[in-house]
Amino acid sequence: MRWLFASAPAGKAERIGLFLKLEAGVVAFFIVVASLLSSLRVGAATDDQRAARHPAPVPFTVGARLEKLYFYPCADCHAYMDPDDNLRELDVEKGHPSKLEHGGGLIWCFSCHDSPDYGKLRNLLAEPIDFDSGYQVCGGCHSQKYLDWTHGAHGKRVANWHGDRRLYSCMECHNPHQPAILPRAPEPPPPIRAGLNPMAPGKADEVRRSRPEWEQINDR
Amino acid sequence: MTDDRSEEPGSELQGTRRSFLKNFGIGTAGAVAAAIPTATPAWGGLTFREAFDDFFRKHYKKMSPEEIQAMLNRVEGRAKRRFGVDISCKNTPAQEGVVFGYAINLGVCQGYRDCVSACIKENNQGRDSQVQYIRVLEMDRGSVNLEHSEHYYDPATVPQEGKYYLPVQCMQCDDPPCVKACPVEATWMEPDGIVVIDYDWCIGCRYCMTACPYWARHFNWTEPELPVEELNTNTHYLGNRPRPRGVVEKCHFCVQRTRENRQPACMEACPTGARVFGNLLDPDSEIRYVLENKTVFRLKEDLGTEPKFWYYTD
Repeated sequence: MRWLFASAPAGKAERIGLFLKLEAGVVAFFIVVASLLSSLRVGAATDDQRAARHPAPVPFTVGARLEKLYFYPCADCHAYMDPDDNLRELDVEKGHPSKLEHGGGLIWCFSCHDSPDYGKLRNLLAEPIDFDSGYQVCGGCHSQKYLDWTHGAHGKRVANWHGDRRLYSCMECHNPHQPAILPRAPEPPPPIRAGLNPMAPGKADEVRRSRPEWEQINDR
Repeated sequence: MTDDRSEEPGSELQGTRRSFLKNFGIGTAGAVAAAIPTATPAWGGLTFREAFDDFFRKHYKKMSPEEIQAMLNRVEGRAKRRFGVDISCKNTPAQEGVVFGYAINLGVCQGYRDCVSACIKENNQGRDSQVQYIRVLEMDRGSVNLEHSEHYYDPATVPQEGKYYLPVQCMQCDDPPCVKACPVEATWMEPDGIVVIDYDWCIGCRYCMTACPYWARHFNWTEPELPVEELNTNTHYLGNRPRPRGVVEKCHFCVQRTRENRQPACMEACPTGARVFGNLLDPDSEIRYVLENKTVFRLKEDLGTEPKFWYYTD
C-alpha cells in the first residue's frame, strides 16, 4: 500500500496527460469512422428502421364488395348523363345520398368515383380501382388507419385468429358517404336484483339512481 | 298453533304412508322394475356408478388419458339426462408455442354489449343470471377511475356524450393471484396462458373471488335457466361445459374455440372490430403489432399480476 501512496502524487499528472491525449485520439478516430460509415449507409439505416417499425403485413384477403352493391352497373343510368362536378343536392330517389358527410366539403363524387368508367373507383392518382379493392381508395387519405388495418390493429378479422387472414373491407362498417358510426341501442344491462325477485327490464336505472334503503327509513 | 302443527303434518304423513303401503301391496317387484328406468335422477343426475367414479376420481392433472375420457363421457351422459341433448365435451390440449393475449381498442368500442350477449350464449349461462364473464364499464371521458364507472348503463343509444366504454373480463394474469388462493388446486394456468377451473374439483369457497383484483370470477348461485334449443353443444371440459351449481366460473378465452384456431365468441360478435386476439409468441401476429406499435396499458398494473389483456386507442 505504501508504494502506491508514495508514487501517486508524482505520476498522476503524467498519467492524466497521457490519458487525455489517448482519449482525444480515440474520439477523433471514432468520429472519422462514424462519419465515413454514415455517409455510406445513411439511406439504408433509415429504411431498416422503418422496416423494423412496420414490417410487411401478413398477407390477407378482403371480402368482395361488388355483389353487395344494390345499384351496381352504374352505367345503366350514367351512360346517358354528362358528368357534373358541381356541389349540389342529389336526388335521393335515385339511390344516392342527398349530401356527402365525408371530407368536410373538400371532396366530391369524382374524388373517389371514376368518371368516364362509372363501374370503377379511382385513387388519388386517378387510376381506376375495382369496387372490391375499394380499401385502396380509403388508404389514399387515411394512410395511418390503412396501415393499422393491414396489420390488424384497426378493423375486423373474420372467423379465426390463426391461419387464413380474411379481413372486412372498410365499407363493411363505414358508409363511405357518411363514415361516422351512428349511435344505436345497447344490449340489455346485467339483471340486478331488488330483494328476491328479478329486476323488471328497464328498471335498473331507476333503482340505481334512487336513494339506498337505509337512508329512507326515517321517511316512513 | 300447536294443534295445527301437530295435525297437518301428521295427516299428510299418514296419507303418504297409507299410499305407500297400498302401492307396496300391489306388487313390489313390478313397481321397482318400472321405477328404475324412469326414476328421477338421484345422485345429482348421475347413476350410482357415475357418482361413485366422480367421488373417487383423481385431480385433472393426475389422470391418465383413459380416465379423462371416462370423465368426459360422464359429463356428456349427465348433460343428456339433464337436458335431453347430445353435447360433445372435448379436452383439446393447448397448442405448442402459443400463449394467448388480448387487446381492446378503446377508441372504437361503442359500448353495444354485443360481446356480453355472445358470451352468455356461447358459455350456456342463464339468460337472467348475473354471471356474466364480461362487464362493459361506462367511464367518464378523460378519467380511468374504475370506482366511478357504471356497468348497469342502459340509455336509449350508445355511445353517450362524454363517455367511453371499457370492457372488463378475466385478464388471464401471468401471475394469477386466484390460483394461489385456491386451497384445493381447482384452478390453474394452462400452457397457453389461460387460467382454467375444474368445476367438479371446485369446492365453492370463493377465496379466488376475493383474491381477484378485476372482479373476473363469479359464483353461480343457481342452475342456469336457458331454453334447451339454445344450448351450445360444442363444449370443452375446462371451458363451457354444463357446470354444477355452487362453483366459481370465469372467462376462459373460449378455450373450446381458440384451441381450434377460432376466435373467442366476444371477438367474433364485436361489430366494431375493437377486439384483437392472438398468439403473443408469434412476432407476426396482430396482437404483437398492437403491443409494439400502439400505446397500450393494462388495468391495475401496479399489482404485479401481469395481466395478458391490454387496452389501446388508435
